[in-house]
This record gives sequence, C-alpha cells and structure tokens, in this order.
Amino acid sequence: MALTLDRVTVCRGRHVVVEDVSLALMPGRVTVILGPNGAGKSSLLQAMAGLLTHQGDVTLDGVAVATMPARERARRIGYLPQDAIVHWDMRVDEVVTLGRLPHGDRDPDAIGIAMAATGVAGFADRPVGALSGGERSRVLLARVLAGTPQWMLVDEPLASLDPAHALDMLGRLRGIAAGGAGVVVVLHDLPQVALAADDVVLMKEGQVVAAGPCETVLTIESAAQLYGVDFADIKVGDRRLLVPVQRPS
Amino acid sequence: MSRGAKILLLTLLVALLFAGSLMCGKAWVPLSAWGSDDPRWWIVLELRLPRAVLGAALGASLGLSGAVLQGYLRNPLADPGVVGVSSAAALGAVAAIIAGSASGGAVFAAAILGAAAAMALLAALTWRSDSTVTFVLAGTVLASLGGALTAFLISIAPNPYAVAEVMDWLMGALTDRSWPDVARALPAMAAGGLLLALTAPALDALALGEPAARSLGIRPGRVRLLVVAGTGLAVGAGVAATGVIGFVGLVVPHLLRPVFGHRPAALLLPSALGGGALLLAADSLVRLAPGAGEVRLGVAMAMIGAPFFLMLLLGSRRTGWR
Repeated sequence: MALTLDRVTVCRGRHVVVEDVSLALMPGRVTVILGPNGAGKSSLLQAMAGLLTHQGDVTLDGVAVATMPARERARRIGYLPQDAIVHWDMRVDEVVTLGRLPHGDRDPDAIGIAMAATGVAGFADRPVGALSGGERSRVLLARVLAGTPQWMLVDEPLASLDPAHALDMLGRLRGIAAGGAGVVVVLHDLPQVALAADDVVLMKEGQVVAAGPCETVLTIESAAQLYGVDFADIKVGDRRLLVPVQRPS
Repeated sequence: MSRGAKILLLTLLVALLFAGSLMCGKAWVPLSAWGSDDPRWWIVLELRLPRAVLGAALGASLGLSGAVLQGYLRNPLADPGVVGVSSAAALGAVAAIIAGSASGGAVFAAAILGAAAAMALLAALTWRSDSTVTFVLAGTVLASLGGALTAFLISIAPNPYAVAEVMDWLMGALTDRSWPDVARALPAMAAGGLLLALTAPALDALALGEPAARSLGIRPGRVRLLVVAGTGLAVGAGVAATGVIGFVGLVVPHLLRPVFGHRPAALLLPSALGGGALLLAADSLVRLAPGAGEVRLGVAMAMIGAPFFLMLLLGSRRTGWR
C-alpha cells in the first residue's frame, strides 16, 4: 500500500511547479507537506491523487496512478481539496453519500461510520448551506471517509477552523492513519504540524528540501531555512512545537 | 411525502394535462366522443394526439436538458440556449425555408444539420479545456453567431413570403404538427434524453467542484461530450420540429428544486416530467385563447415565463435562495 513518487515533475502552463520529487510514503502514518506559499505543495498533492498530468511516476503498490482506471483510482485514493465548496444546497447525507460514487453503491455502513467518525450524524438532514464553516468541513471530510480509501490526501483542512475544531480535525486525521490508511496533509500552521505529523516533507520552490520523521527533520534550523523566519520551540509532552517569532534582522 | 410519491403525482399531472390537451381546442372533444364513430375522434387521432405527443416530448427534452446544463455548469441561470443549439437549429431551418424548401422533412433535416454542426464546433472549441467558463463562452458565441446569420439570411431573403414563413416558424408552435413530424423528432429526442440521463452521477459529483469530482472518478471530457451530444440531439430535434420555444429549460428546474431538493441528479426525472407538463398546459391554453388564430406557443411561453421568473427571483431574494 506504499505510495511512491519517482522523479515527479509537474508543470502548470510554462511554469515548473514541482520539480524532480522522489518520495516513499507509508500507510498508517500522517505525512505533512510543509513549505512557504508557492512551494508546490498543493500541486504535488494533486499529482499524487492522479489529478494533474506529470512527468515521472506516482505508484500505488507498484501500479502507476496515472494509468489506473479513474474509478479504481478514486476507490483507493481520496482527495479533499482546500476550498470547502458545495455548489448546490444539498443535504448533509447527500453530500456524504457522494463518497460512494467510485464504488457505485450507497453502502449505509460506510456512510454511517464516516458520519459518526466526523460527528455529522446529528445534522444529517440539514442543508449544507445552513452549516457553519467547521461543520461543513467535517461534512466534506466525511464525504472522503465514506469512500473508505487506502490513502487520504487532504489540502489545508484547517483553513477556516477555530482552534477547537482544528484540534478535532487533526485528531480525526490521526485516527484515520491509526486505522491503517495513509494520510498526507498540506498544512501551514507549524505548531499544529508537530501535533499531527509522523513524517514531514519540506518543500521550497517546487523541490523537496528534506523529508523524514517529524522530530528529526522539523527543527528550529530547518524551519528557519525553509521560511526565512526565526522560530522558538515550546515543549508540550514529548513533542516540540515550533512557533514563528520574528523575521531575522 | 416520499420522492416516489412526488414523482407519481407529477406523472399523474402529465397524464391529466395530456388528456386535457386532447380534449381542448376550438372544438371541444369530450371523453364520450373518444374511440367512437364521432368525426371529432378523427381530430383527436390525427391532429391533437401527435401534437400532444410532440409537446410532451419537447417539454421533457427542454426540462431535462435545462436541469442537466444547470447541474453541469453549476449555475441556476443556464438553459439550452447557452450552448447555442437552439439558434443553430433555427439557422439551419431558416436557411432551408429561404432556399425555397417547403417540405417539413427538408426543414427538419436542415435544422438538425445546423444543431449538429454547432455541437461539433462546441465540442471542438472546448476539447482541450476543462473549464466551464470556456464552455459557456463558446456556447454564447455560437448562439450569437447563429442569431446574426439568421438575421442576415432574413435580410437577403428573395421575397416577403419567405420572410413571413421564417418569422412564423421562428416563433415556435405545435400547430398542425402531424405524425410524420413526431416520427422524425421522437427518436433523436429519446436518444438525447438517454445521453443526458447518463450524466446524473457526474452532475452530483461536480457540485463539489471539478477537482473533487475528478478525484471521485468522474472524467470531465466524457461528461462534456454527453452533455453536448445529448443537448444537441434532444433540443436540436425539438427546435427542428417546432421552432424556438424558450424558458422551459430555465424555469422548470427552479420550480422543482424546492420540492425535490437541490441535488442535481435528483432533479433530472422531475424536470423532464415538469417540462412536459408545462408545455402541455401552455399549448392547451394557447388553443383556448379567444380569437381566430392561435397565440404562438414560443411567444406565449416567453410572455408567461418572463414575469413568472421575475416573481420567483424577487421571492427568492426575500427567502435567501442559494
């Protein structure tokens, strides 16, 4: 179930946005992709999901994602885009049921488990237009979970969440990984990275500058180099959270 | 009330309006005269039945393609007009009329050819782009090109009779349509409707935006092809048989959303039924209107449809319509 990237390059128009990236990602772990704006994180995530044409190979269990039939790929890789869009005022259960599309069924067990795991079962019959930002992002996460993918690729899931909901969301992603699935998340907020990540991938200008276990790869020095900002660290339990403090003079 | 019960009610409404459409007109044909030696039964069989069948099928095509296009473009203002198929079919028909063709078959064939050409152009123009903006722009350009060429043809028409005939045709009507018209249009409408129905799961997925839809295994190119070919066949054949009748595709999904919910796929069957009901009702009304002639169905539809739609819009501003 390993997700492997071998010399992956992605171009958008004439611009190279991801350049020559090779990675081996393991299931059962949360891998966080970090980097400044424009580093190519979202493009890399979309290439992993088979949604962007790329050079090089993205393979799942040795099978190239790009050549997989669309529905099989969709059954194995779930993707949650950054913008929490639902264009029509559909009911919550209708949105979650969309996660079953690649399977061609409406498996009530999978849908029920996904809704319970995200805490949306209580308002299953409400229209999404009537939900708060936090509730809506949980509904969309439930949509991906309902498809029971082996890999979940999630783009900035904390964007519109307050601290309580953000911590809940990270807890859910860790829970999904603990259940055996692979989880890859693009995150911006460094303190939260240390709370969520088993592994990190540091990206800058389309390239991977470092990748590996969070505690060894994400240090004050590597973060400072990545963002051009000075960091301080706070110890919380056995984790070290990095907090940006100032731009170097 | 369950969805099945609502659909059953809507089907009953269509059946009632269909029966009503067979009965009403300048000569009233009551149920007691049906299936007898009554000469009025002949009117029903040879004039009103083909007209009602064509009306119901056209309404269903327009309603269905409106619902599909609104779902596909994720825009409640979309209707078959935005893909340019109506104006291209009209252009073909007008060309045939001005070239002196009198037979219904030739006008129908020319209109279908026009619709097919426009759909091929639209498919070619949007081939490499997954953006719905490109789709709408290309369709709008095709629609105005079709309109301009039609106006040009009218302006160079050799005689005023041809112009009168063209104007008459453009206004859209079910008057004097007979079984051969039905036989020509129905297969294409049915095939188009089938293609449009196949888009249902993709329309739901597209509600989450295109990247999410693709991650669910939806192939945008295939969906676009189904939408283009389905609309071309269903609406193209409809326009070819009856002339341009607007507003059905736009209004019907709006009317049904509060009843059947906002999920695009859940609106397809109701919109087809609702379109059929609306057209049958409107066609019966134009026949009952006093006066020697008939109000043209296309004109009546716009005259009833536009204020009604405005009313809906004003109401929705109060209730917060998404």
